[in-house]
Order: sequence, then C-alpha cells, then structure tokens
Amino acid sequence: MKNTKRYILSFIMIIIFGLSAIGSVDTDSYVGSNNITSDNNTTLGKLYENYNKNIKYDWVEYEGVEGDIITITGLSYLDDPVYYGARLLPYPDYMGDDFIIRMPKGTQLVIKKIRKIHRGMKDIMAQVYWFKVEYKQKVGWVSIFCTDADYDPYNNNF
Amino acid sequence: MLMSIGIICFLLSTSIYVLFRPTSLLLFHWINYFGFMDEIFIFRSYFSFIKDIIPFYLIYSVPFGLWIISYMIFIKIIWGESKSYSYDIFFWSVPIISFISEMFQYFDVISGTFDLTDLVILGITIILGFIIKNI
Repeated sequence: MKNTKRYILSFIMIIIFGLSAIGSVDTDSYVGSNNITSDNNTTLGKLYENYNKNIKYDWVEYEGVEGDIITITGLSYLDDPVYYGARLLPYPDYMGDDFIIRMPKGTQLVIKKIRKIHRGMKDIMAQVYWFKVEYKQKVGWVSIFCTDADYDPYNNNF
Repeated sequence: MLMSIGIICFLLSTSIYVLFRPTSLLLFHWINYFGFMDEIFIFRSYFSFIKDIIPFYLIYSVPFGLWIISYMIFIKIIWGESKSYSYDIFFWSVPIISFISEMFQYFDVISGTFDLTDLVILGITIILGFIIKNI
C-alpha cells in the first residue's frame, strides 16, 4: 500500500475514533447546574417521551393536595455523602442521570402537585408517588422514596 | 484474523456504550437527532437486566480500552510492516493522549473525573499495543 493511501486511511481512523471519543462525553449536569428545565421541547423532554413509549405507563394526578410539607431524607442506606439528599428531577419517573439541582437532607418543601406513576413491562408493575416541588426557584419532581412522606402506595385514599 | 478482532472490539465497546451507559452521553443526543432513539430504548430495555449483573468497570472503563485496541489494530492493518515514523505516531497517538488526559484529570489540569480503573485499563491497553505492534 502506498504511503499516501496509508495517511488518508489513518486520518479517517483518527476522525472515526475522535468522533467516538467526543460522543462518549457525558452531558450530565453536576451539582448546582441549572441548565436543565422541565420544558418538553428540550432534547431531554423528547428522550423522556420516547422512553415512555416503550413501557406500559400510566399516571394519576391528585388535585387539591398542594400545601403539604415534606422533608428530604435522602437515600439513608448509602453512607457515601454524595448520596445525601435528593435530586430535583425534570420529570416524574425520570430515569436519566440529569437533574435540575441537588437538595440537601433536611430540606423542607411544599408540595405543588402529586402524581402517582404506574409503570412496568408485561406483568411487572410499579407504582410510585412523585411530588412536584419548588426549590431555590427551580421547579421539578422528587420521588417519595427521597422524602419523609408516608403515603401508602397501595392506598388510593390520601 | 486481526481485522476480525478489531471489528469485534469496536462493536463490543460501541454496544456497551449504547446499551448500558447513561443516555446523557452526547452520543445519544446525536442518535436522537437522527431519530433512532425509539429503537435504542427498545434494545436497552431488552438488555437492561444484564446491567445489574456485570461489574461496574465493564460498563465504565473497559469499553474505552476496547475502542483504543480496535484503533491500534486498524492502524496496524493499514501500515503493515512499515518502518515509517508516521506509523509509530499514528499508532501511539490515541493511547498516549488518552493516558495523558487521564493523568491530567488527576491533577485537575483538564475537566473530568479521574478514575484509577480507567488508568489501569489504559495501561493494559498500552501493553497490549506493544503486543499488537509486534505481531
């Protein structure tokens, strides 16, 4: 093979692997970032919508429940300080790694809305309560598991 | 034979990225742009059970190593038995730059999270590079 051909092919390889390396860059937002919004027009919103097309998904929204106060407890079974507190997520049941802001343990929040999410594939279903809250002028969602709320997921009466 | 190993390494690492890495990677923004996100999510849901079984480093460290190995194999195939310095430069540029950038992350020279496992994998990759080059 002539050297010219080798150079061309090598540069093509560099471009392919360079693009691969760029593609592996994580666009996740870290603590304190406020680049993510709950706007459905964002790429994140579209990803969320697409995700939910592939699973059996349903939700119930509770009216007239705003005003209750919940406290962030965090994932207490993890000792790593990174996991103290909870993440304010752009959507209820959001499965990605992005988040709006991290809320420290002990933060008190006023519930704006409650949504119970049913999701699963085939016969495996899960139901989880999600709370719409505002923290530091940012609105997002937090799972019941990160709070002290004691609603019974199998009781629809609350 | 060498070509097959290179292709397998490339496909394997790409598959790990696509199936198991978080969708916050830039790669997924591109996939979403081209409209293949639905298919990707279906594939990811099929393989999601594996994520709980396989070790963390297989998802987060090994794919990059496999990528570099496949790169070195392809460069080896392109340059054959050439004694040119250009061959050496092309062959070693990617693994060395990757290794240095990982070290820079440790010293906070560039942004990113330093991971010792990444460094070990890159070290192993460079050792494998010597073997590949002398095949």
